[in-house]
Amino acid sequence: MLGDKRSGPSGPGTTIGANVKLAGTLQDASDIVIHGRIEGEVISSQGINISESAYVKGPVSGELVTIAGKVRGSITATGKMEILPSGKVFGSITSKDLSIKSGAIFVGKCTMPTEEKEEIEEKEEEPTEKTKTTYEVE
Amino acid sequence: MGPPRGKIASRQEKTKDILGDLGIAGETVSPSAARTIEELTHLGIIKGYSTIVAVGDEALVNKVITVIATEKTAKDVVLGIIPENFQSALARKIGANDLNSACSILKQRRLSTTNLVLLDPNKYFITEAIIRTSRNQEIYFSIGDLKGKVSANLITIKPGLEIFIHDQTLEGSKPSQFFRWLFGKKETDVYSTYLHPKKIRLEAEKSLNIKIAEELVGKTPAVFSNRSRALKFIVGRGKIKSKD
Repeated sequence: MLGDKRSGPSGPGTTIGANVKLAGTLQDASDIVIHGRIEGEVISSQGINISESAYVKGPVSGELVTIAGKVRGSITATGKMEILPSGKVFGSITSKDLSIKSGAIFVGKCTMPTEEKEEIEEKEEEPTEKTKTTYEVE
Repeated sequence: MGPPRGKIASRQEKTKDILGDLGIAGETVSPSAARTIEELTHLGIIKGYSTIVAVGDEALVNKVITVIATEKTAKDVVLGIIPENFQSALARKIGANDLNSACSILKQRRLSTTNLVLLDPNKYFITEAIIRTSRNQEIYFSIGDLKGKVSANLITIKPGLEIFIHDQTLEGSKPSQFFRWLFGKKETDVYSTYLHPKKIRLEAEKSLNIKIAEELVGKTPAVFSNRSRALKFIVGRGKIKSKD
């Protein structure tokens, strides 16, 4: 934790209890489980689990991010991101694999990976071509 | 060895006999009014002993460890341990079940390295330190820039600087715990905190006792640091950890 730059899985990770209030950057190479309250950045190269009792005010960045509590801030998941029915997210999300369960609250912008964006742009161009062709026939 | 008195003296004689039978020779010293454990360990290092065996309880072993970890010339000194209590965490750490097995472990001389915790300014320990209060206290901790506050009554600090903070009062009353146990209802423990920093400062509004094996070793505010792989010690079969 905090500057612990051991590569790969290392130990059981960090758990923040429901009776804990933190301010600052919480960083761990292993999983982070939050039941308490954090004002600051949460960074893990593995999983981040924000439980129902948790409140995070600040950016969250991890591989697998699961949210059952409340987050105010941007969330980046290099792998999968899931917002559970009790989850509330107010901020932007960046993830290539996103799941928002029924009942969850998400207020913000969602960005998917670049490949997906390119496909959308290509599809948007197609109708323009068709319109042009149709015009020429007329 | 610990100060020779009554049962301890006969145990020390027995230990010497077993070690002699195993062909382990060396100088045996005991603390007295003239020489403390720390001074005796320091003398052992000056004399150039490559192995120092601590025979006694956790407090004695931690005192020996503190000298070995502090002295620059003791870098290659190996620690052997013959614990007083074979049910203790110390005995489990070296894999000894009784006096005979503890002596045999010394004979086999399998080396391992272990993490230590440094309690500032100069106390090292190999087992665990406990901060316990009868009632919940607001405890403040800082890990670099990260500042935290927790209401807790038990903090355990283990080698590798693994810190468990627990609030027993939030688990519910004894009757509710009993009913949960009776009906097999398992609830997720959301009140325990686990941290593994390199360094942590703990502070409370009221100064709290820090104990190792029920011995008072310090008071809050206190700074604990991890000393990774700081001690070479002799362990039993199956207790050697790989370098990774």
